[in-house]
Amino acid sequence: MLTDLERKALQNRQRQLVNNLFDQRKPAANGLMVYRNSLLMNAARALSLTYPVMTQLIGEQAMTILARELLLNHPPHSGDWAEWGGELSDLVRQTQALAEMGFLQDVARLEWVLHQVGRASPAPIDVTTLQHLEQIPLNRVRIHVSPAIARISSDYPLEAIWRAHRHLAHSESLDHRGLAEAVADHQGESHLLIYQQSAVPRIRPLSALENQWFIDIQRGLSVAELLDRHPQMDFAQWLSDAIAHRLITHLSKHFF
Amino acid sequence: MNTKQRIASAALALAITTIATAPVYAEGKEKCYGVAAAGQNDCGNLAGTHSCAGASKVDYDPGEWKLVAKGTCESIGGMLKAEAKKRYQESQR
Repeated sequence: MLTDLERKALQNRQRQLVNNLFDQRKPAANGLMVYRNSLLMNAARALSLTYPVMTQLIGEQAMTILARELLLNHPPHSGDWAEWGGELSDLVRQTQALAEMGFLQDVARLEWVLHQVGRASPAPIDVTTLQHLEQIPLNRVRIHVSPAIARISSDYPLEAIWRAHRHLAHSESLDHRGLAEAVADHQGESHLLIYQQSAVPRIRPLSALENQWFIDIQRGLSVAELLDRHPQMDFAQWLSDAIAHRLITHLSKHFF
Repeated sequence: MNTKQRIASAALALAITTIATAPVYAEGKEKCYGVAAAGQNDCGNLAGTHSCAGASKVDYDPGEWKLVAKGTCESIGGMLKAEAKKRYQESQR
């Protein structure tokens, strides 16, 4: 049986070992280096699984360097590697050699969101609250977007870049022409909706109108305000689609 | 009824249809063959001749199905897929 003092001393030694493992800048004895390398390889492998398109774009060696930086600055908080690596997009932005290729940050952002959405439990829809559309004045009814979906906006043709590279790991060849056309045709911002269907994350483009509609819903505008602001929106079709793809969780009534 | 309320009512009507037919709401339900009136089937039939809801031509065709609450199919005179498939194959011989 350990005494309280011994337990505390053991905890301190374990904490020091973990700190030494993670802080790859500190010099280390050979034995510790084995553990450090093993940790780095695990981290790099985890990062490549979460970011397969980034790995295709910059290569495994660069991903290992980024994994090392992430370990230093953002060590994992749980024993699950799948929960680690969300700061990659920020790291890419701060890394001079990569920052010039602005689309890389957005690809990293998209892959993290895909990873998160794919792991989220689909939020159930309280279909009884749809009755508010007939029973409550529309200026008191709000729509609630599912926490298990996400939107991303980018200055780049993000979906085309992602789709062109995602199968490369399976030795398909890059569609250079298709990608070049998508980049040449691209104008302004692109907006993507990421949602889950049959436990798989899906991507689909959003028009600027649909994107603004989502923004206004998330700002808390009432259904009456939404319909006033977006007269061109086909509300019935949108709601039907939102229900079919679990994009919303419920409607709520609010008081002034 | 003002325009916005009309839009909202139309949206509610379509939403109810979506809930009734979307596969995502099919949890706790099962395919029941031979209980659909003509034009009231859900999705594709055993013969593979159509894949759309509401496309069946005759009442209570054993090749057509509807989603019903789990465990209630046989009590309303229907068949589960294995039985329906067997009968369908026999009828094709």
